[in-house]
Amino acid sequence: MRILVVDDDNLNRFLLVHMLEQQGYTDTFEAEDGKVALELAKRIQPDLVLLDVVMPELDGYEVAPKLKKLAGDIYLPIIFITAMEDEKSLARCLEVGGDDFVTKPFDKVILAAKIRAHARTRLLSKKTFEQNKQLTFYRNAIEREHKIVEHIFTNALSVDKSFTRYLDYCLNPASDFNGDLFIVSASPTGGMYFLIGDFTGHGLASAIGALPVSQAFQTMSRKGLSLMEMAETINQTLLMLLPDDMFFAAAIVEINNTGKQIDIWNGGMPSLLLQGPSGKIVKRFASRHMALGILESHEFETEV
Amino acid sequence: MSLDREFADDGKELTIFLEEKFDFGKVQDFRMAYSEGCEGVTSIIINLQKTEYMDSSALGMLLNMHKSLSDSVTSFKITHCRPQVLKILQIARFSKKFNIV
Repeated sequence: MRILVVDDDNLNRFLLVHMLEQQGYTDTFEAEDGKVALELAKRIQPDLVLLDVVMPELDGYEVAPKLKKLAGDIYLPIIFITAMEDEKSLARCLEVGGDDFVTKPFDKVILAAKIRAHARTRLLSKKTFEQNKQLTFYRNAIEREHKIVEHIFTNALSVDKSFTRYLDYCLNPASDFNGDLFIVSASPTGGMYFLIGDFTGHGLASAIGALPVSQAFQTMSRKGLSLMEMAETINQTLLMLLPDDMFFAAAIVEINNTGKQIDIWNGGMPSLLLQGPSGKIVKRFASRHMALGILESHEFETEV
Repeated sequence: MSLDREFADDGKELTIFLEEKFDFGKVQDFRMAYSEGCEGVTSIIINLQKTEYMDSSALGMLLNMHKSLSDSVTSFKITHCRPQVLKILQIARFSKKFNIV
């Protein structure tokens, strides 16, 4: 606890410093006028200032706001020590930025109690300041990391341009990172596969599973594997990777090269709708399986 | 706030009552409800009478419970579902792991 005592009167300074010593505050500095006080404050960064009002050069009313400015965002308690007793002068102490006042001759017990009270607030303010600094640091770090991950995700999970003439799609996630996934891939026989899915939960944690799913899906599409094999492999991968309370609801669809045959494996997604040319719903494909990443291989059903 | 629960059949049957919202906010309470003082429980009933909203993390929590208790508990029931909740459980095909009545 570093205390700066500002008073043009030698004796007053001596009394104050002596009183502080008795209270256990030994880290004290003295200034005989406002100018010296400001110079000193810059150098020593006090935790509390005892400030006389009437001084040559800069008086207490002028020094207080300047000291506050020096202290920046951290609360610097300023207690005025004044011989004036009229209401106006005392009120002014607080108006110019002071935090408290004690009238001369000062009462040791009251002054000591006030110093302790303001010291508590100062400590609190310091803590908050530190925490704010840390918070800003973490926020920046997280933002930077999110940018990197976002970059990887957009590259890994974007829909290949060559499909866009066949597809109209709309992904409307609630946050940057999410467990929503739409991936498309060509089959070696001239048809195509696509997968629509949604991981449990929100945010980055739910998005992370999208990468292995997408990799597996692309690889299996290139080999022209059946939906059954795809569902089984992805289930196996996710069972191994995901915690027990996380899963991946998904529908995997294969359209053959004529565009007339469609196979669907739906696990835990709402019904897929097939629209006729007129826009009428011709068929609904309801979920017939549990989502991926829940069932062990022997319980898992691949029926399409 | 912890969830209401009820023991029956000499402590072998435990009923857990969920609230209006069954989502990630309940993760701690729900785990406590099926893990604290539940030695000897062989049958668990999840009562969803009050539940109007349920999200995927709730499904995850149910699966988690199923997995962690499947050695000692032989019957998992979900009861009193409202239509919108029942629909979620049907889409998720939870009847494979839970007896939905």
